[in-house]
Amino acid sequence: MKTLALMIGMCGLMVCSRAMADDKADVSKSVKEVTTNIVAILNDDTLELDASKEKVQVEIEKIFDFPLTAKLTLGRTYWPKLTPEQQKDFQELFVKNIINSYYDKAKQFATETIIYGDPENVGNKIQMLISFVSKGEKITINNKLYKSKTGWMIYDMEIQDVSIVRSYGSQYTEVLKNGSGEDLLEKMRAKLKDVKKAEEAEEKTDDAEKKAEDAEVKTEAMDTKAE
Amino acid sequence: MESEGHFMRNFHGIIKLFSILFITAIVTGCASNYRARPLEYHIVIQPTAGDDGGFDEFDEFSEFGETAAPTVNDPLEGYNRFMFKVNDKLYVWIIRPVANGYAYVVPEPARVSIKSFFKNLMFPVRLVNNLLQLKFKECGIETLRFGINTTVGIGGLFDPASSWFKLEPSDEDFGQTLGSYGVGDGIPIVLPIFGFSNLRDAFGRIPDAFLNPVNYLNPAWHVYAVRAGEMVNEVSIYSKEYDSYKKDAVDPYIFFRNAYKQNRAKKVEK
Repeated sequence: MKTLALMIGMCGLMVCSRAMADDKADVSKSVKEVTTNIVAILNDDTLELDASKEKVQVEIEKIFDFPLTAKLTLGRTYWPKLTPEQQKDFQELFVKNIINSYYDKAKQFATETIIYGDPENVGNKIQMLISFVSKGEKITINNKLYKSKTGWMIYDMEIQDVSIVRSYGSQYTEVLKNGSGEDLLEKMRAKLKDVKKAEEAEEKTDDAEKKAEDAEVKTEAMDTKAE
Repeated sequence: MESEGHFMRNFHGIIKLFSILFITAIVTGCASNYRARPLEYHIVIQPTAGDDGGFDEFDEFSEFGETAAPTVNDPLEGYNRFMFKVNDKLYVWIIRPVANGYAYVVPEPARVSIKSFFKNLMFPVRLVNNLLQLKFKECGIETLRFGINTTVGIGGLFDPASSWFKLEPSDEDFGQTLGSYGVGDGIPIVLPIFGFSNLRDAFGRIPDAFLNPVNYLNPAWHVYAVRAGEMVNEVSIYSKEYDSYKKDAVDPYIFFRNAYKQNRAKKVEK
């Protein structure tokens, strides 16, 4: 009897650890896949900025549970302060803001070699480190995943030990302390507008530079012809 | 020998200072406000219609507490916001233009080497603070790194200790030493020029200054020139990052205050 129980116990343990190992393998695979795809999109120079951002968003939403992250930034205290309508808007604006924030930064690092850490179990969650070297310093991104109905999804990223949930949470809750949900949504929309304006301004200067270059090339060609 | 006496005096001074601080730490340790304690919120929440299920998720993610960013005790917020603005103006109008001009003339790999040189020079700070935190293995690694980078890395300009020998640095300073002995970070303080800090870390700069070789240059204005040069070099490498974080934040002051706090808390843990 005892040995039978022991054997069943051992089988259970093996199945359990096998399941955990499978989870870790799944996480490792999906994180690597999504990262490789995103790097490919970032390095694709043929794409327009907006199209590129959209593609990145689609790709990263496969593994990043943004609506949950948005919820966590406000936490139990402030999430109920928004009406269901506002909650939906908030989650959408949150995704757009994050993509805008991190797109430029990610583009700078898209050419570096990425080192993938091994996924580790932390409680009932999994954490996996990605790192790369940039400008002589090691940048680490700790992905925190939880098991959702659709598989393992990221709910928070710690970039150089600064958590997205906490850093955005601190700003949003500060606004909500002294203002309403509508104030917060207004600020987020204003941020998006600013980013759009900055991008358009940059495009204009880029175009102007290109025109100047073309004009130079033309005059040079004309000069050589005249000779 | 004279130099030995000087060293012993300094060493005793550091030990004395440290024991005073240690006692202070124990006394004020209870006042530390960034230890992983659950927050004591007693709020009665009226769940919004149809959103009851959502609260389970908050239980699942209890690592974030009742609210992802607990209230920070920032009694100097008025001054801090003002100094933050002043530093920002200083940066935008003086430091960044100088750094950009410098970056235009000096290629990035050279600037990264200069940064590496200064980092190597700060070896005494890291060694002593690792020692004070009883991190003996890291002391050994840091010494090895210093040896390798100074010789093979040509005076610290390169970092073969990391790239070839995979020896990771252990970046400790006195603020972290105090933190590891339970001294809470106190309150946020924005220092002129240096930027965000807190009561504990700002104080921690003082003992570290004694361990920074640059501060022993003669005459005194050499020290300021070198320190300024080091800052311009650093800014020239990281100006884009600072600008993008500032641009993206809904409230840059809050963002940097929170990021600094998180970063220091993690560093103290390590």
